[in-house]
Amino acid sequence: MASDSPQQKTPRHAERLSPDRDLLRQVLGSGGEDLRKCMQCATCSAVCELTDGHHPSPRKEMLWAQWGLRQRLMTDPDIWLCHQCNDCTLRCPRGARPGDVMAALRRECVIHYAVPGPIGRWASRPSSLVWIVLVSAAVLAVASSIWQWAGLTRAELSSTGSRIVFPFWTRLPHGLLMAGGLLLLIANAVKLFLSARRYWRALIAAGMPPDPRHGQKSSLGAALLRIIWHDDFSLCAANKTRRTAHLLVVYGMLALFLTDLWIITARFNPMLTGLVYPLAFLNPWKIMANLAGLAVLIGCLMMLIDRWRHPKTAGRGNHYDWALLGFLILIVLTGFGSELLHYARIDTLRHAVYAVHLVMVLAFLWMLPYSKLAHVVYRTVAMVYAERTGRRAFRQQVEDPLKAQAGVPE
Amino acid sequence: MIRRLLQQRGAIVLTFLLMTVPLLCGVVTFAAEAIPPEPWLENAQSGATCILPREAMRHMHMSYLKTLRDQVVRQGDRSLISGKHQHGITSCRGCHEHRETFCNRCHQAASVRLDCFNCHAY
Repeated sequence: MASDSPQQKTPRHAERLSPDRDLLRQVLGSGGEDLRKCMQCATCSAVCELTDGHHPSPRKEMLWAQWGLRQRLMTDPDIWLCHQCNDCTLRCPRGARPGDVMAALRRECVIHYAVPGPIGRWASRPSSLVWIVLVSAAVLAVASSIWQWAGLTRAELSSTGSRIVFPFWTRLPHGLLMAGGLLLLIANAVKLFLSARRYWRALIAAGMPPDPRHGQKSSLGAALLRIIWHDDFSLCAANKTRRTAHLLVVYGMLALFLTDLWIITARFNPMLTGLVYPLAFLNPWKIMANLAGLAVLIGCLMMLIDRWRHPKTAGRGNHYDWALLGFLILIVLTGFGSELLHYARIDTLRHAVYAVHLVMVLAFLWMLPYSKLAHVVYRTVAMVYAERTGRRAFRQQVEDPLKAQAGVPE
Repeated sequence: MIRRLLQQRGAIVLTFLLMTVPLLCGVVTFAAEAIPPEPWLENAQSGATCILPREAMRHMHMSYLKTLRDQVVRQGDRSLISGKHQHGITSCRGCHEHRETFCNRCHQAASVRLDCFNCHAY
């Protein structure tokens, strides 16, 4: 891998740069094709509501990306502190689209810190998506056959008895789905933890040391609070839709995850003694799951419409963005589809739709640490870093009051 | 309007609160099921003693009544329901006056559905 760190033999005042052409190619090929138009006027940093005066972004990232300085970009928290409001893209006099370049750099960062690395690189190719879905379908089919052959389906059916009124259960029993899902969840948690640790160590090694005045726990707490309230999104000037849509999707997915946990623990949960699956339409969990599904769907559609109507402020979107959005929409649509077909008692079609739903969920789960959804971890790490090193506090205490005094231009 | 609502933190707090509703519903149902109300039964009116001890009557009255039924209907033996000592279902009323407070409370608590009183007046 090419490195732009100072070589040992070069004097300290000189820095030998070895550009990484692969990085440049990746950025140019995933939404940042206007990168070379940048002339370093710094309009982007001036209009950005999220950057701070000591580390102006996205100007420096534009320069580093043009030069292909991989090591600097991959140890730069600012690419994750950006929430892609696209104020910069809107105001850029050359149309270099800094917002989209930052998005392409974030994609590269996910690939750079992926565990294991080669799979991350492979999964990032658009053509791999087809393989991921096909492999998921094959794995599900084989696992279901093995489950059947081992007699686990029959054991499960006899243990649940007549409470289950779901014909498809016999082919894809919940025991199998839960076992697979749990395995993938644990694997994802481990992978994402390792990636986050690598990223954190790289940040500390390359940047500022932690400030003892800001503890690990309080930094994490402050960052999580900002995530819960979506504070950084509300600073966006150019695009207000982004915050609403993101809120709907985040909290919708959180509620769906809660419902899933509830269903999975149903067997051991004393509060679910009378569980009849599928849940009744007016069961509180069912009501919440339906509302949450609607929230995710509406949020995703808002993002789609925003991209279609306001291509400048919504961002061009690279393959990572479209893959995540497409997966979410397909999963929610097939989920609602099988529910509605169940109520309409159209069984054959429902089984097909449900199978597609499960394959999509499986594919989504196992490519999660290599997809755009990994931003949950990387952005949190970067936000904790900004708190821990005192960058955030400096900005709040010194820069923001100065900005308010001067008056922010419209 | 929705966007303005979502700009407020109250919307997020409300979302978190709403997410706890199903859980609370489960807890409430669980708690309500865990402590069933003790059925209160009407005591006998007079100081007379029953045909069997109290515990035996509680647990076996249904089989006793069925045995009695078989004896009367199938074998034609009416000795136990006529004469001085009547042991039939209508003779319970001699001491336990009201069906509502004597039979029904316990049957409702135990979710028992019976067809005795479809024919027999009590």
